[in-house]
Amino acid sequence: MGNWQKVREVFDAALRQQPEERESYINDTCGHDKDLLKEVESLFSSLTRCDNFLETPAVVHVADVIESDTGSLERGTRIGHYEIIEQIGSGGMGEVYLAQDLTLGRHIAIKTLNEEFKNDGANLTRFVGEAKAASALNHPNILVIHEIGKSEIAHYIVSEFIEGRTLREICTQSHMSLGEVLDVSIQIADALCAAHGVSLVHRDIKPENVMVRPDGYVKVLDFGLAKLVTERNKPVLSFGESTVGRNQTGKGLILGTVNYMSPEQAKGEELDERTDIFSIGAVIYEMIAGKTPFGGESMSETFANLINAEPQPLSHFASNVPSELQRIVSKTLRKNKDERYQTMKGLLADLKDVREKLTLDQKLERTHSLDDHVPEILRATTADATLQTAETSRGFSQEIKQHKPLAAFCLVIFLAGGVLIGLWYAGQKNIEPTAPILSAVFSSETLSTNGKIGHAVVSSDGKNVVYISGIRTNQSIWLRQLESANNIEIIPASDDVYRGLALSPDGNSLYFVRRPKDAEEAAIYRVSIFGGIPTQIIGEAGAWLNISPDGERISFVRGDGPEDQNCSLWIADAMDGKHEKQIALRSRPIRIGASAFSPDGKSIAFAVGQSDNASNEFGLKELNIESGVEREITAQKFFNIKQIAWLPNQSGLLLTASVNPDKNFRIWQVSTASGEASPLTNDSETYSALSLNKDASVLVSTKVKADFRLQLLNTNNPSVRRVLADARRVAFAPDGRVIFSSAMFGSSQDIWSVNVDGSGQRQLTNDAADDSMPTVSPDNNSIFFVSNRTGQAQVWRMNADGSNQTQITQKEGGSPLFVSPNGKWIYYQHSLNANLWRASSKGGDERLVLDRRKSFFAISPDGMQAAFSEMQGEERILTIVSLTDGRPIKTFRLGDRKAYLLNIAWLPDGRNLVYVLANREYENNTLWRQSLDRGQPQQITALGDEMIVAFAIAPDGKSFAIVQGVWRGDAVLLRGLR
Amino acid sequence: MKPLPDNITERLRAWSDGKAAEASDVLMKLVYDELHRQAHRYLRRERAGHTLQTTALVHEVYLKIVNQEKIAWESRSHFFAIAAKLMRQILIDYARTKHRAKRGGAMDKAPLENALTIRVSETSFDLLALDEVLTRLAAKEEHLATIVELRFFSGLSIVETAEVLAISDSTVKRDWQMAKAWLHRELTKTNSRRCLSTD
Repeated sequence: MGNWQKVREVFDAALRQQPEERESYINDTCGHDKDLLKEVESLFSSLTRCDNFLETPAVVHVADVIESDTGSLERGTRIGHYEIIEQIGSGGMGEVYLAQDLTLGRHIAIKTLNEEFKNDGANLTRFVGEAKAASALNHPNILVIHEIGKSEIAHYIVSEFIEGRTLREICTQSHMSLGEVLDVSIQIADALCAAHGVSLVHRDIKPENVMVRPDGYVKVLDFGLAKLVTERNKPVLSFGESTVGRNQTGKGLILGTVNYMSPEQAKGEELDERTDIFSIGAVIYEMIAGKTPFGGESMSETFANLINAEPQPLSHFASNVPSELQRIVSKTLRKNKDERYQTMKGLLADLKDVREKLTLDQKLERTHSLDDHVPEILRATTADATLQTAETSRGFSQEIKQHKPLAAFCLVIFLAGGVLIGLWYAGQKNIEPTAPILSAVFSSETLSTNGKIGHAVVSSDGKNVVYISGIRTNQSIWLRQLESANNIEIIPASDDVYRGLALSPDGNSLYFVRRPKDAEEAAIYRVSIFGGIPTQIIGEAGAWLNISPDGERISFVRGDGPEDQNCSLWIADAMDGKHEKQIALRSRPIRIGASAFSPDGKSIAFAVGQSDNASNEFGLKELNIESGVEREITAQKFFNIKQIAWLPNQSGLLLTASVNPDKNFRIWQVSTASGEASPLTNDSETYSALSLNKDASVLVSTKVKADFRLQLLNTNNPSVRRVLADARRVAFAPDGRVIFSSAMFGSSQDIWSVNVDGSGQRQLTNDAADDSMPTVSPDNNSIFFVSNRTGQAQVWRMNADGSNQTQITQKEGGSPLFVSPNGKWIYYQHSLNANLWRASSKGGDERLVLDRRKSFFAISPDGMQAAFSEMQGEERILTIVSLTDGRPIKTFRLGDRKAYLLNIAWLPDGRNLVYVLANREYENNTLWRQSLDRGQPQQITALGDEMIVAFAIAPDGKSFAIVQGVWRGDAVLLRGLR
Repeated sequence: MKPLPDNITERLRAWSDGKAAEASDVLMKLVYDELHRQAHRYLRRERAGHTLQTTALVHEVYLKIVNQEKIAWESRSHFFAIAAKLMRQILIDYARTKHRAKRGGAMDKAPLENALTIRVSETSFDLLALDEVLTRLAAKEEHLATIVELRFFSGLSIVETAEVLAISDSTVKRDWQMAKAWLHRELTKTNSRRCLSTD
């Protein structure tokens, strides 16, 4: 049907109209198109007749077929000395039957193991383990196991047969009185007390697993999932020959029904007795409220509620709930297990107190007992007792869950296990007593080796790491559960670009900065660590997120992009981004970097400064949020600071920072009291990310490496590349030699020279400072470069063989770009202001030539003109100006209007420019030629997606050099920082 | 890679090729097994006044399967879309078995008259017919068929369907109406034709 799309559109639009307006809308819209009208009308006519159509799930319609298909055991079938009467339930591992014990002449429940598990050793072991663990508990409220056996038909467990109803059925069918609620709760708690006494955690407490006999006796079922909790200093339960309580479910498995799961269980963390405390709380809540405390419309909503929401008070549902009971239930449902009842015993005692008080009150008051208005639902009426026996009695609950962690979509990003790569010793053993005194010895574990980790943060409890996979492109966000080594995808890979990560203190909400590919504006989002659709909370934001210790506020930075005029630090409500408040502001070139709320939440530490002219001008400030007063935390200055984290007792901070001339970023510690600063790491790695868990026992960082290679390409056949060296910047000498600076990080940059065929590689500078941006004079005799060996970026000169290194500029220097044809002037780009200067090539006479702040300048071979790109309206264009008076001479359109100019050079003939374009993400590099005589730029070649950081044209114009590569990052875990 | 769920369809297509067959079998078996159990439960609960929740089934299967390391799920949405397709296959297979039994009269004890039929106001149809018509709808617009699979075969609510497909509730509502109206119309057409030819 060709007009499907049209029909669809009209139908959809009509649905948006008020019902009474639909007809006229359809008539109007279809006009003379009779076919369309007929089609839409027939659909609406169908719609009016299909209210219940498809509203009953399909499975309902074939349920009986499925039933007949399940191959359950026929009545009269013998298993051992048991004879099947009928099936009464079905669990995750098999069926449950009512059967006759032919030896003892009693009814029993028998649970068979599914065919499929027969040859499955792991499940068999679990099956036996379940039975034995439960058998070991001789408690009136725990189902009694009679036998574990094996017949020709199946493996099986025989248990006592309970007549009664499940608590689920009771809850659904009637309203329970307060007395009944307490009686049931106390019995469940009592059963769990016994189980916990032998380190057996149930893990799956829910109304379906509680049977209530007609006489009010409660039986807790399904200890099958119970996992032995290996308590320290306590012998593990002994099972016959084996003394190891090897149970079963493995670490980090999610078991149980979502509605009754504790938050730690939902997160797939390791569980202890306190998860049962939470679950029983949820059951008590439901008995009173008639609904589960966190139940939502969907599973993810339930998860979200479990993590973020507080349940409505019980008084909302029932008027007669004693405040003491409300307190008890609230305490069991605390999200943080440390805030819950710590033992089932404690809970049991409190429940008993309430029960006693209730009994006493009832006795005293006589009248209007709380129970009066409710039927005694715990007792089965004689009328349907037979039916109940047949229908609802069971020995085992119907379901066993073996849910594994919520999502372990395992990418091979992380290595299976941690690798202990060694111990480091801090350079300075003699840290002053006033310093935070972190032990200089700690262990390191690499979390990744693929070099693709963009950023990583650790959760407050130290159990999870959230990381960005993908350095700049194809990024996704993942949760790594450290104990289980599971990786769970939170945000799937896309073209979007992510920066900054922060976790709420409870570990449940993740904050990140996201920018659509090629877009200018980024925004801050919040998402549950279980995934889902992220909510934008703050627009137009940069990076450097941090969340206050109480989880209430978020700090972030605006205007840290290279073209921004002002840079500001903000705080806002973490939940929804409301109440934005600017708390610090700096003008360029000063910018604000990472920030961190102090543990007491009263102040924020932040990094502020500039690294443009390579001075150690980055400092660390502490800002009192209420008063707005700033103070300097330490007199130590840095070249740059990447991340900041407070130590728990507010005694100090850790930072990833570098100081000139030693360029690699180490982890530093700074004392807040004395301002003392010292590096903790002294290896050659560069550490970027930095995050600490609450007690600082776990530190997560990323190690960053630059992987850029100098490559030579032939202009006529650019597909052939010759790799010459790892490099950062490049220039050609007039005699054809290639001069380059070595790769940054790990060691300082130095200047080297090499022949175009790769021979004769030679190091020209060798010092602790960074020497870069080489430029060679026309006579081949002088190489100018920028060096920060004085602490500031200055222009230096040396002979072609590296001898006679002399400082040329004295004020604020910069990066050399061009030597005038007569050799008299060295042109350089000012490090701080990014405008164009020149100085005498012998030193002195420093003056501003062109006051335009640009990323890239190219100067014509005659030294008369400069080319750069700038914005003209919405478009980026290429502009050529006179260096004599700064007046524009010509403008050209760029080869690709959406692209950014990455580098530009003048061809030796002076009549052509070549430039590199890339997209906003530094991908999709293309090389273009612009003739000064003709208007249209021509694309020479595509240069791939890896980032290009330097570009130079050979003096003969026949070949060119690029420095291209990627940044690599790997996550690392440090422990033992105490 | 584009964000999900844009390429769910693509993935599903990829799913059917040989490479993914093994993983598909694993999933199929798990969903299948879980369905059996759930059906039992359903029959018990129905008598006790409960209704069957296919949604719960899918969620449980999800929780169970996500950790199967062999299956690298792209996302939860991905899973639900796949599960809905499988659920459709499974249920239709059941319907087919039943249909055969009805024709051959081999094994069956229970009266089968209405077991497979679903009341559609005045008319009724069987699941097999729905399956056919749904396939035709998929050819016109895969998205609408996916919604039907999620809602009808997987039992997801409007809200859950919206979450899985990352579209708004109101869009799901309208698309659901469109799908229902179209399917209903086609089924009534089919049915009358069938009645004529077979009776």
